[in-house]
This record gives sequence, C-alpha cells and structure tokens, in this order.
Amino acid sequence: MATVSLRNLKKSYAGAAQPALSDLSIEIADGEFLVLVGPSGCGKSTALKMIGGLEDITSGEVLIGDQVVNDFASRDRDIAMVFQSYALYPHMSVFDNIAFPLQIAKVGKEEIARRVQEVAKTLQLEPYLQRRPGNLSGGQRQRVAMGRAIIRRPSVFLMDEPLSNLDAKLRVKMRAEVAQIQRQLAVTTIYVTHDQVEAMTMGDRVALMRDGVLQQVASPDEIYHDPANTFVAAFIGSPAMNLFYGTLLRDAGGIKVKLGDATLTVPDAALAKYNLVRDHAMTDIIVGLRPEDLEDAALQPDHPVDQVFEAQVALVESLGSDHMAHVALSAPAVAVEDDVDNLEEVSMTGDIQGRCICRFSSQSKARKGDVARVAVACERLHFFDPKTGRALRDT
Amino acid sequence: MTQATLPKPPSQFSLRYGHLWFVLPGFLFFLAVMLLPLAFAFGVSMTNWSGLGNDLSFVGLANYAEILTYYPFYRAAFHNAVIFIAILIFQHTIGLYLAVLLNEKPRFMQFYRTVLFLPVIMSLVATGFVWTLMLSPNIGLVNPMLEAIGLGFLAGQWLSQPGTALAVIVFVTAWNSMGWSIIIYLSGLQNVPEELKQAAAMDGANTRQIFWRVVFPQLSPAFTALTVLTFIGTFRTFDVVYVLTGPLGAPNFGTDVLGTLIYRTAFGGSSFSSAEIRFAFGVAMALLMMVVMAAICWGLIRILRSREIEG
Repeated sequence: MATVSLRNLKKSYAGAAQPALSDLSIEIADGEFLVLVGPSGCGKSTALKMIGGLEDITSGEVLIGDQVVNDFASRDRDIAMVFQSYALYPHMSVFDNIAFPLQIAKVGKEEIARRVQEVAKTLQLEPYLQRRPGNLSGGQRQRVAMGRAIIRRPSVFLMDEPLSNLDAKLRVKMRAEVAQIQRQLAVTTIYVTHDQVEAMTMGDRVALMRDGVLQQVASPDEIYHDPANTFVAAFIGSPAMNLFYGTLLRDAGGIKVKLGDATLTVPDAALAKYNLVRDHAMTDIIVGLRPEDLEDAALQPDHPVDQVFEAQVALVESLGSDHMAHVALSAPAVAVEDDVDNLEEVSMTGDIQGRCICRFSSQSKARKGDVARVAVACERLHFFDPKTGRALRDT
Repeated sequence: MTQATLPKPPSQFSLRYGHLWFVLPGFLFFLAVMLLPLAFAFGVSMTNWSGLGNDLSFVGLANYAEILTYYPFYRAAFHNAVIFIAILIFQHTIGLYLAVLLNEKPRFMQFYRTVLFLPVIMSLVATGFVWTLMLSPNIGLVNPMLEAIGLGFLAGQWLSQPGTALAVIVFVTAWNSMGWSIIIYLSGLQNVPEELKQAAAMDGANTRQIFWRVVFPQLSPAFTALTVLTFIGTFRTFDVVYVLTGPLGAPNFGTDVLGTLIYRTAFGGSSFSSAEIRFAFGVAMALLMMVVMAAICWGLIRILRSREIEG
C-alpha cells in the first residue's frame, strides 16, 4: 500500500510540436481509486506508462510512497499492471500466467499453488486453471490479467483501459467486479479509460485530461456538478451539457441571462456558486444547461415564469423513461472540439440556431414541430468565461 | 416476374465439383513437371538401365533392396546428418543471437541486415569457389592470416585432411545460410507484442528471464520452419561439396554426401569409367531419399507443431 505523487510530470517526444504530457501534478492517496479519463491522445496512457516505468520521464518526478522512482526499473517499483490487450503469456496455462510473478520471485511451489488457488477462487477462475489463454473468453482473459496483477499484492495497480475489449454487457459486469476487488484489496489504483461512464462509476476521484494537460481532478459528483471549464462540462455527462453563448443583463429584478430571444433570471443560488458572474454583467458569457435541468413547463405549472423559455421542438427521442427533446434555441451554440489546441479557441458553430437537448419526463406531450415551453432549473445553470472557457468561480 | 430472365440454376454436379476447374491449370502444370517425371523415374528405378543405350531389363525392387546394404549410401547419409546437426546448432544459436541484436534496432540496422543476408543471394558455386581459393595451401589467404596473428599452428591443408574437410563444408554452408535464420528469427521476434515484454518486466522479470520465459517460446513457429528448412537444405546439399571437395567427396569420401553419391552413381564421377555408371540405381537412391526425407519432415513438423501455441 502506498501513496503515489506525480510532480510536474512532463513527456515530450523528439520532433513533436507540443509535449504529450505537460506539467501533470496529482497526489493519489493510499488505497484511492483514481481514474484518468480523456479523449484518445490526451496523454493518459503516457502518464500511466511513466508511472509504470515503461516510458522515460522527460522531467518531473514520480513518487511511490516517499521514494522517487524515476530511475527505478519497472520490476523495482512494486506495481502491477493490467493491459488493454491483457498481455497474457499465450504459451502458458492460466495457472502459470497467474503464478508467473511469484515464480520469478522464486516463491516456494506450495506457496504458489496456495496463492493461485486463492486468487482463482476470488476471480472464479478455478475451472480454467489448466487452459491456455487462447481457449478463454474475453471476460475470462480479463480476469486472468487481474489475477496476475493481484497475486503479488503490489503497492499500486495500474490499469490501462482493461475493459475496452469486452462487449457492452460484460463491461458493465466487470466494471462492478473490478471496482469491488479494488475496494476489497484497498490497493492504490490508477485506472485509464476513455469511457466517462467507467470514470464516473468506478473512481474515488476522476482526473480529466486533454492534449496532455490536466483539466480537473475531483470526485465524480464534483466534476459533474462543478466542471472547471467548458471542456470538462462537455466531456462528462451523456447527453453532453448544452453550452450557448449568451449575454448577462442586470436590471432591477437582478441578474438575467439572455440566450437569443429567451431571457432567464439567474437565482441567488447560482450566483453564490458562480461568484464571478456578477463581475461579468453586461458582457458575453457561456451558459451551460444540463439536459436533466430542462423540463417541459407544462408538467411544472408552479415553475417561476422568469425561468422558462419557448422553443420549437425539432426532434423527440423516446427512451421510455424519458423523452429527449431537441429544441431550437436562437442562440449560438459553443462547440468544444477535441482537436482544438487551446481552450481559448472554443468556437461558434456556423448556424445561430443552436440545438438544445432537454430531458423531458415521459409524461411530456411535446411533439416534433410543437412550440414547447421549457422550464429551466436556473439554480443549476453553469457559467463560463467565453475567452478562456473557465468556470466563473473561484477555485 | 423476372424469373424468366434468371440464369439456369447450376446443377448439383457443378455445385459440388465446379471449383475444380480453378485448380486444373495448376494441376496440369504439376502433372507435367512433377508427377509424370516422378512416375517415369519410379519406372526407371525398377530396371537396370545404365543411362545409355537400350540395354535394360526389369529388376523389380532389386535396386532398393541393394541400397539397404550399400555402405556408401549410409556413409553419405551420415555426412548429411553431421552437416544438418551442425548447421542446426549454428542457426539456433548464432543466427538467433544476431536476430535478437538486430531486433534491438541498432543504428544502420538496414545495412547490417543486408550484409548478413548477402551470402544467401549469392550463388553457392561462386562462393564455394572463392572459399577454395581462400583455403588453398598455396595461394590461399587463410593460412597466412592465421600465421600473421600467431595461430600458425592451426594452418593446414584444410580441404585435403579428413579431419577438417567436413568442418570446412559445414562452415561454408553455415556462413551461406545464416541470413535465412536471421530473417526468419527476426520476423518471429518482431511478431512478439511489446506489451508481453512490458507485462513480464512489470511482473519482475529481468531481461534474461523476459527473453527465455516469454519471448523465446513465442518463436517456436520460427524454430519449426527453420528446422524443417535446414533439414531439407542440408540433406540435398550438393553444390558446396562439389565445388570444395569434388564429386568424390574427397579426401577418401570423407565429405561424400547423398547429393554427390547420387550424382556420381547416375552420371559418373570424373575419374570413374563409364562402366561404373548405374543410372537406375542412382534414381532409386534419389527416390528412396525423397521418401525418407518426406517422412522425416512430416514427423518433424508434427513434433514441433505440437509445441506451438494454439489460437
């Protein structure tokens, strides 16, 4: 068991214009499950490999416990890793695959047999111990890879997208199993994924990365409800947060936000959370609305009338439990592209008619072509600086 | 409605055997250059034809029966076996070692690879001739070189001493075929996923353990291919021996191999009178050798394949 500290970790490749990883600093507590998440190419796997000693460190420090391990070989770092491809030894039986770390460490044969049995029992692999990996299903292989990692009882687990080769159903099952095993063993775990659902459901904390830069590291709830910038806001959540350019107005009734033709009153709760909003009165701003904060006003007759806008319904997708209504908002939508180099370049989409996705209850009668009245839970609005994309609050 | 314009459905016969049309051209070619000559050769091997004239009579399997007690055949086969074992050891050690070095992607890798592979593409007759010149006791380069570096006691009549002649044959063959082993092993090494090695490193293995416990077992297909190819190559060796020590396998048949023995028997060696030429007997030896080699290859592949990784 150990803490892991990354201090100003940097990785640049010769010939590359920008570093693959720049200035990554995270403190990971003993026994914590940290998920590194982000789009492909964001540097999350690079960071993991640097912690594992599989990739050279350009600058910065990796500490496991109190020890700087930059110059340690992988085998001296007391870590175990689960690879995306599982990297099982194809010529060895499941037993030998799991036993390999102990065989290398010259543990006695009886002790090895006992511990492999123990691990196989935990992972329900007992019937398969004599098989070769080639004769196992994806889920079984995944468990063998886990077994090989946990048998050594390392201080730190590294997992590089271990579930991405499984089909959707199995992935959900294994997600829970992996998280449960981690909690049982209480081993510090760093888990890389590009799947935000995995990140949200498994991690104690989630670190979201983009283009080699850490965007935010926080608990799943915090990263969802208090995103640090527009990228985090757009990446976490499905469907994604609706982001629009708007203008802040101030009048006798308080602070209002104007989104195209619609004007919404911003309640004090939102102003308290986004404490820098007041400084941006009368200026342009980016407003974020989560789909679940938008409801059909017909179902909420008591909703304050100054927190409602009217919009034409372009499409309704029924999920059974909810209706996803795509409404046309006459305000420019914000596009947060993965390939934009800087947050400063969050750009406008071509058409001024932004699509806004609302999660209406299944009771909603709104249909395609109707003009719906949309009730906005304005206390949960999000506000971002249109130039930097940062949330308008002190961090 | 459109039924009338549909083509006639294929008959059961053409559904079942229609694909054979696609095989026919290849099969005809195979028949003409392989099966017919083979059948003809088998027919010849059951006669006592000398290869010249019309004087022949059917002798049944007498030629084959004679081979079974024909000492030169076993002597030659033994020499082939010695060459095979020696080359095999050489390829699976030096060849593998060089492949591992090349797999580390050193600078100038392309250059090294080309240089190491060059002997393979050169004619064995030409390289054999160059080696006879180099090893010549009169005008050769090797003996003076050995003397110059203080190893003069090693200098000798390389190709005319029974002790060294076969070793020279092995050496030249090894030098010539090393490129193959390097290329085959290198392709095997490049197929070993990087993550397997990384996983082994994580599991605590050092470089040596990673190679022997993880990488080397992945090379068994390369091992199989190389062993079988080497077996075939060394048992049909002819040109190196012919150029270096002549059709008689000098000295005193010390380097005589099946190739030279069959050649001499069927077509006549340089110093033998034409009365010694026994074409049919030579053909019988060649056919017997083919059958035995095919059987051994089949066995080798079966044994080696069972060690390979399924799936």
